[in-house]
Amino acid sequence: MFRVLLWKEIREHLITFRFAAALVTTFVLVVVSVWVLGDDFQRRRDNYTKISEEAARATGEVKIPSMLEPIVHYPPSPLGIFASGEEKALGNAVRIQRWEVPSEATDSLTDNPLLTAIPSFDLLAVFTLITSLFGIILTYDSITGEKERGTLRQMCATVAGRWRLYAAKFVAGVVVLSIPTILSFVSGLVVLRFIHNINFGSAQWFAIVFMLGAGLLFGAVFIALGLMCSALVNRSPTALILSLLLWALGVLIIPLGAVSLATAFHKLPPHSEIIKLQKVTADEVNAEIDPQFGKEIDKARAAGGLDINGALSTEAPGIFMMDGNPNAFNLYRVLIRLMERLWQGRAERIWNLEKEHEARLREQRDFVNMFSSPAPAFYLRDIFTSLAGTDYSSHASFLERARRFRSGMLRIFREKGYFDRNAIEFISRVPQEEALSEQKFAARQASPGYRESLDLDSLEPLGSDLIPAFESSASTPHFQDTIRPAAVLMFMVLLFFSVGQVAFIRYDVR
Amino acid sequence: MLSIARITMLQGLKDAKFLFLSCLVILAFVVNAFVYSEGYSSSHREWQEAVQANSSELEQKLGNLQRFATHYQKLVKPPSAGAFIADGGERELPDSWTVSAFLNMEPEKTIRGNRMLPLLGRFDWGFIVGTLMTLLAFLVSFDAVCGEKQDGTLKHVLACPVSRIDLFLGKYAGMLAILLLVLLSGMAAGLLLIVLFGSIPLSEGIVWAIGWAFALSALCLSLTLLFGIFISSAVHHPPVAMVILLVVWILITVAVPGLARLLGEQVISVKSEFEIRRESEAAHDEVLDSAPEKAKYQHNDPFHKDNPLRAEMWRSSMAAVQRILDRSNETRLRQFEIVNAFASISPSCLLNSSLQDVVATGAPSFSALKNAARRYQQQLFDFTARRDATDSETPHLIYAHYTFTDVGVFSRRPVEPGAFPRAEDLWRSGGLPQEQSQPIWQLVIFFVLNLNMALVAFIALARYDPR
Repeated sequence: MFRVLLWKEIREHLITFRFAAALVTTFVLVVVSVWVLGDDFQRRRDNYTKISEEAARATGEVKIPSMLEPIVHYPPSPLGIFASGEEKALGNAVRIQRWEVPSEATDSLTDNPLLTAIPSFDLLAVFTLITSLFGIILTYDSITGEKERGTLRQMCATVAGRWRLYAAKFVAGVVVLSIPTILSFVSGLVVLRFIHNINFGSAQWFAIVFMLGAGLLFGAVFIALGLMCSALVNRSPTALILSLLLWALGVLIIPLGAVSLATAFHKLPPHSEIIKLQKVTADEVNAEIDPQFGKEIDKARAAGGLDINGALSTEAPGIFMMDGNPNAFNLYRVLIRLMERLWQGRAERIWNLEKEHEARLREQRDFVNMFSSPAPAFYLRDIFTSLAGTDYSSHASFLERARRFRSGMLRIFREKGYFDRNAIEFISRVPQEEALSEQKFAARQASPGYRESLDLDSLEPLGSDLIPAFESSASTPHFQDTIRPAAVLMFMVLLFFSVGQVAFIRYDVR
Repeated sequence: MLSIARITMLQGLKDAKFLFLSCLVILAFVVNAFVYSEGYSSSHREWQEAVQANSSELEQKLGNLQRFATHYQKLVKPPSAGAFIADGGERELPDSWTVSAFLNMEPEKTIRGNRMLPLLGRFDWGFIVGTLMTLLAFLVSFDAVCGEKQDGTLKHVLACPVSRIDLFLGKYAGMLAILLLVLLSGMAAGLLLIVLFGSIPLSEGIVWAIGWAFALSALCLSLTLLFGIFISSAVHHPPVAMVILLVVWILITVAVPGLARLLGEQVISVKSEFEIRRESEAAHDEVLDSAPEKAKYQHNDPFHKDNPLRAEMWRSSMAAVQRILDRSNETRLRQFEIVNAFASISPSCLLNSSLQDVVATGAPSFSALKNAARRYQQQLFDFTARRDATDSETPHLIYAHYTFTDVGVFSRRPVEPGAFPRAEDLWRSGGLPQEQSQPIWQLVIFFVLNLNMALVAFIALARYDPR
């Protein structure tokens, strides 16, 4: 009996104008969006390859360890074609510096920063807006329409039973809606594979299947919603308006309003406060360095033969020295010992401030999540972006890896004694014992062709053995993050289905 | 005609669904006022702090004109007070520019909200009218004609001594009246809150912008209403009319801006930052290679005879870099404008972009920032030249290579605080940048579209055969 009912419902849907509209609209929009975003992805990937190669080359060509400031990159995610998320807004490159703990990335792959103001129209947007809308359009009159035509009475009089009737309508709606969804998604994949030649790994294929599943589940939420509205009221226009209202709330108004309201309700101290604090700590560090260093300069002067004239600046992070007299070398060694300790300590202190600020940002985001929790669109977005690796947490894990990379670099430097005993090796290519010996300096000065400041270009690069390379792996899909939002979507389907079912059972044929 | 208008209006007003949706729209205006008042006051504070930070950094350079002129300042655009009318992506667009007397570099983002929040869109008047109220207009009009066809009342009405044009105009006027009522009450409620909050300055420019916003919104709503009547007259069943209108609605509000972006990216290609960097380096190297050998050496004596050659070399190198940067920013802006132009085939996007013109957000805001950066760089350069002219101890060769200058080639005297041009003076006090313009053309386009759509809708109604 159920099969008969189901087949009848499906057949009725398939011949409607709405189904044709859903099919054509979804197909065209998905194919166009995947086509163009695939193109965009290729451009970004090419940019990424060029930029990361150049960064690796630049790192390999560094001549002095103190000038080593590698730039690490986060590759664009191929699944970002389906859900761009925050990828373009959050940046993808971090310069690893001794005196700064990275808390943010800069963007070097997006060609036009102005276009970030326009929300990109990806598969996620199509599912969120179009599939859900058609879910409602398909079902808003499946019960009210039959009530109006009077066929429902007759159906209720058959042995089918109301539960089966309602379930058949729901399943038919899901099946019919999944046709345009699957068809357009598959065509999108064909475009990517055969026109853009983008290949996915096995984890990514899993993620794609999960995305499709999430899209269908999301569609089912709106099928259940449309049916529920249809069961609750008696006239089709009323059902349509009620379900449209709920649709607009769940897809447009709540997700949009949540961000706006949360930013207004839960205020953040502006980031400029942090910058102010950073300046204060910088001044503190300078105040600590300057007198100590002044004492050292006086000591060196007293030892004689030092012409330094303030050429040493405590503000220059990349200080390096090619050659000089032993006194100057010694002074530099003291300077490094002082500065590295204080400035690296300052970096830690600022990072602690940044962490506090980030905790507040996270609180505000939790507010947004709380406000948007009634909206199904919020969960779909959650699933898609965590699968695509374009959500904030993927970005945060990249930053975390960059920070670990930095501390690894500093550990190697410390082990080599660059910040204390071997500081001269850190800033110069002159061997330490030679640098500190008066006789050797005199001999160097006497040799033909001696120049006080050596040409950096003439030195051999350090090579890439000093520090290990950064693992710039693309993010893997976070399947575990999709469980909760998927469960909520499932719960919404069940809720709307049961409310509708109860309303339908309570329907009085008289 | 008037009685038809009155009946339509009363029918619409007493409809519970309509009342409910209208309340929703008015609530949206209230939320908008609340959110943007808060947002404006906090971003304005951040702007003041950024300006303060910039000037305190600048003050440290006042001891020496050379250091002052080569110092990279941050020119920060104040947040637009009219963002509640049309946000234009204030949260995402660059809002500052690095400028010295010798170069204006690249746009960047200084005032930022929470980077962890999703970029979903905005809640400005453009969204409320262009998205929510157009849906309301479609909901009001979808069964205006075909509902009566189905009920059979249209036949009776047509049998009465009422001409079809009266019927058409009456229905149109009645529905437009209730939509405008909702619009006006929403705007009034929002404005009342904005006045009560008091954080957004209601300057003359803003008052004008509100007037423009009302006129443009009314025309946009009237256009969507006429389209609704057209579809309603062309089909026979209200559900079919509704489905068509919903598909059209989703296309004009969501799909068109997204697709326009995709199309715009295809039509104009923009160079990546990497390519721009490469190009500037190449241009710089080219200038250096073609420069005479004598120009390449730095001399301790600022009056050295080779220094004019050196000045020429650095000036042309900086000019070449500036040309490349200008061109790339120009192309970016053009791509952005083309995307907006493509999107303008949708009335709700046309409404949004014309509202952005009125309050100078979005593309106009970026071009204001770009022009301000150029103007400020010129002011700084002129100021440096003027100051240097009074100093008899220099050869008056004003040049620099990024932040590097040869010592003493132009004046190193201190700059008096208060004497130099300040970045924040470039912005008008009212909170709106000077690029605010009047969207006369868009108004005309809306008007013409309205006339055409009215004609089409009337023809569709006139073709109805009661048999």
